[in-house]
Amino acid sequence: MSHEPKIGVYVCHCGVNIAGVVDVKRVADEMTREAGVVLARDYKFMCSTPGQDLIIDDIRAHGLNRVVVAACSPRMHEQTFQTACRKAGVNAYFFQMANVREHDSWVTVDKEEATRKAISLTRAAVRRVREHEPLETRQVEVRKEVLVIGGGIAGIEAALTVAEGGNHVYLVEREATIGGHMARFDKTFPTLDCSACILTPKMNAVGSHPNITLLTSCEVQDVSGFVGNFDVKIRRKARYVDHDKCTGCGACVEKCPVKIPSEFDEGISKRKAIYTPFPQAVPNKPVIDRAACTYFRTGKCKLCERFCEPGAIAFEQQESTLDVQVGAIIVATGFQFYKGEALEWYGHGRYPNVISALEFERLNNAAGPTEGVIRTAEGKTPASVAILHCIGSRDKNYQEYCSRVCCMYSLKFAHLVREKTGAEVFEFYIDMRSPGKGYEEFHDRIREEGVHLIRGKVGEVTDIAVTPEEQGKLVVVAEDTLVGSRLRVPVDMVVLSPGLSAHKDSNIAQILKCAVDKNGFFIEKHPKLAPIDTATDGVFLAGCCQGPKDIPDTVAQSQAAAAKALALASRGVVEVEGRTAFIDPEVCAGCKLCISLCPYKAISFDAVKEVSVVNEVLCKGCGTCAAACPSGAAQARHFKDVHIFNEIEGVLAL
Amino acid sequence: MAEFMRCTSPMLEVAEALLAAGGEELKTCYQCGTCTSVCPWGNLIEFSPRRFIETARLGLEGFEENSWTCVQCRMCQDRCPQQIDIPQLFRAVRGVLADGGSTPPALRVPLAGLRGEGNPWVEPREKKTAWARKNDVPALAPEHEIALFACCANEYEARNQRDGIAVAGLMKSAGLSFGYMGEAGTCCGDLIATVGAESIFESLRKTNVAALGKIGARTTVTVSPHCLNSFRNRYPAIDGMTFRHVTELWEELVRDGVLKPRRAVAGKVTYHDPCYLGRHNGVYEAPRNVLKAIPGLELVEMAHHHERSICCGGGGGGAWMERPKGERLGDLRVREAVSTGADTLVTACPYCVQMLEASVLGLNLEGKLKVRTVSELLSESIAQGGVE
Repeated sequence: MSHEPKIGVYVCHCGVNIAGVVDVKRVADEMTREAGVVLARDYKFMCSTPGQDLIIDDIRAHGLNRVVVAACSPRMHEQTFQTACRKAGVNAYFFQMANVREHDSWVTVDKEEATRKAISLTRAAVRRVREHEPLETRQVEVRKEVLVIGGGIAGIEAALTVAEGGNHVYLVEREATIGGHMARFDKTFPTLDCSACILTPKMNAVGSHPNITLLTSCEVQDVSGFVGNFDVKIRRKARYVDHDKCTGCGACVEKCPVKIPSEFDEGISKRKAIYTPFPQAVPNKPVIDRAACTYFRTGKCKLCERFCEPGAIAFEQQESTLDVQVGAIIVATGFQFYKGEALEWYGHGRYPNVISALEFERLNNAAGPTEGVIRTAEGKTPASVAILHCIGSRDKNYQEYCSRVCCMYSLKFAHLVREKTGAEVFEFYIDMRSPGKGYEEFHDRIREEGVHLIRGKVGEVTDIAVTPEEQGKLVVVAEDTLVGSRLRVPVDMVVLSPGLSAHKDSNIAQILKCAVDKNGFFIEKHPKLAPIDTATDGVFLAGCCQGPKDIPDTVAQSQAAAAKALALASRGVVEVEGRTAFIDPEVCAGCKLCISLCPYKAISFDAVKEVSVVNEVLCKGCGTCAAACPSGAAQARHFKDVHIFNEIEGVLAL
Repeated sequence: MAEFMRCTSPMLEVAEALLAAGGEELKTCYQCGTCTSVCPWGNLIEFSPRRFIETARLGLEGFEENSWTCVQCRMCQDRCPQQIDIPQLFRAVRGVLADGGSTPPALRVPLAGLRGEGNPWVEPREKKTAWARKNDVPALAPEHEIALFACCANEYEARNQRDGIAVAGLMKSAGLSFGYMGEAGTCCGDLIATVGAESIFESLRKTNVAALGKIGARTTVTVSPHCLNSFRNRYPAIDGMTFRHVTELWEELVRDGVLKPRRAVAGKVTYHDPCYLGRHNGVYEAPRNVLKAIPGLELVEMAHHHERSICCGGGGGGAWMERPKGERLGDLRVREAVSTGADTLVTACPYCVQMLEASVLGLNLEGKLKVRTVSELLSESIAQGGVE
């Protein structure tokens, strides 16, 4: 074998990024003294085409079989150079990068120090690469099916896009219907489109699409596997109504004697124990809320069963599990509105006429508890309404971030109040954020409608009157910071605009082993360049579960996630990384320590041979098993002791 | 081009000095106005902490006039979305102004008193322990478990002496091993710290830290929440020493049955949370638990209670500043108490007692509303003895 190492070393200038601090010529020069180094060059931009050609030409001309590039982070261009090596017939794993930019020139001020460090790092790479082995990557087939978790607009859009692309989708939604938050809104900004009117056609499309298996009242329970080959366990909750028999006639709902607060209407109205969440629900068939149902609680009633002609009531229905295999997963679990102390501070829960955003949406919605009429708790039309921005948002005491949509929905609220009641509207804001298409124009329009926009965050809402005009009203206290006066504004109704929070009651992150940030939102691979990928290949994000955003951005992100899933399926194969672990069966004592430590559940026990075996397709090469193995049987390819020690030697030698 | 001179320019050297003294976090203020909308002064006068911050951090003219208004109640700081220590900015600016000789006349007297006689009432130092000697309050000995640190107000001011006597009486009734620190200690320096006289504060602190380090007691109980705050938050930790407020002590003794409030004290009372006990040090329930244990007492809450309590106006030097009628924070509080129907306004701070009693007088409510401390009411309810 031609395994006398013949190493080519390339030190990149990266323009002035590296060369401005590091003496690149000197680094290259030093490398020529290393054993095995046939040539060492410095070049302005190694990642450019001529730069890569340099490598390819040298390999061919000088018979190089190892390549070291001292340049930027491998996260930037490792793949670029590996591809160049491959093109010239050298195994990609005979390539090693030394990071002399992010780890050196960008963080070191003293040029002599930086140069010495670059020499150390490059020498370490050279000594290491001598011992590299030619690893093989593997190709695994990708399943074409896609799992979408969450049936709000994000999940709906993603599912429809994948389905239209010809692939099959499993859309899992934990509620009895899809639709998410959009189904509860009245109008949407800035067009004032009726939310349900634009949403329900899509919901119906989902319900009838041949490529979509709609799984409502279902939850994802477990996910195992890897990109292209996920095994998903879905928990199907009991509905206690056989949807195959049910015709959706609604007789059961009419007859049910139980009335409890409706979650869909934020508790403002009541629903029955057997119920369809809203008139345009998909599927448009009822489910029984077991905790509220008289029969389940006391054994009596069964009125619904008595009046159900097709005999669709099924009290004995059990929970079941469904196993599916998919190639990609799109997480579209959405958000919840902020619910916390900040609301209470402004009187929510104490004063009946202090209501929060979602409650106000339901009041405005034509299918809501007041059929779209804005009225106070006493049933009167308000003559004045206050809208308070930033409740729980932009606040280190609650949620530090801005939720992006609240300024816009608050302006929308102002419009609805003006249009429906003609009441005076006082809107209290800190900054007016209207960054989308048509948003600033909407802001302008609201001002034209005579809404009083006051710049000042409200400090207090009180019912203690100080003047006769304040009697019987809620008084909003704020400083108009633009004028510099503290105001007391008496109003009939106060609407609080809270921000968006991550779900507090969802364990999807743990099930997928997907990281979430300190606010609970899923972490994307890169905030600017990869907002849809996650660190887990094959798992994509769409919608507010990744961070607060408006409907246009959600839809765009969903379509992008669907595109990524379709691309994965279309490519048909994934390459499995060669830098995996392996366990030498001759040395393994069968202690099974590695099995319990493996975070990817990639190691199993061969009971016949009594040794542990790594499934190299699941293995991510993290090295935990190799570090823990007491006998040294488990080794991380490409990170064996000889590699590590050589690198250390290279760094320390001077 | 004189017509262009009307515009002011930021004076960044001034701004930098104020930021360095007042806290770098001021840079993050985004001028939302929450502080100004919750500040209790807004009910009476035009006072904008928000504008103060903006003027100070650009070094613009005009912030000086409002520097002495803040009573350090912390309402703003607790609601500030950027968690800025706004009272600290006022203290810092006061320090700068004091160095320049602009301390308001009303404060010069108590400051001089502190420098000279160790108390802001300018009473002779010898009078410090008179109240204790007259009322048989044991002096602190090395074997005592608890040190009683009375406030200068208890020592030198007639009305608050009654509270001090009630405190000592309760400790005796409970059979506690305690002694009064007396001359070993000096004023805790709270007033000083809030009006920016750093050097005087430093010397007071040194004296007290040395004294507290020498005593045998491992618990020091204060009557004033301001002393409590100084010891807990402005002094370095003193090895093995715990600081408590009297109400925390009473709560424990009542709960453990050591103090048994048996005598009924009839009346409808409402409790005023002192800023330095409540918002500054998080003690809200202990005083209430003590009041609830007193038979015959009906406790009602004012509209602004717990974290929303409205300052009496005594902090930050307010107890010494003269405010015209109609501009007294204490009045707001007293009126709130009256509207609950209570006959007694109870509190747990010597400054609050002073300010609230002054407001009762000023509003001609003498005889209609009594001002008492938790210690005094508890004392009335303890069967044997109590107040002598």
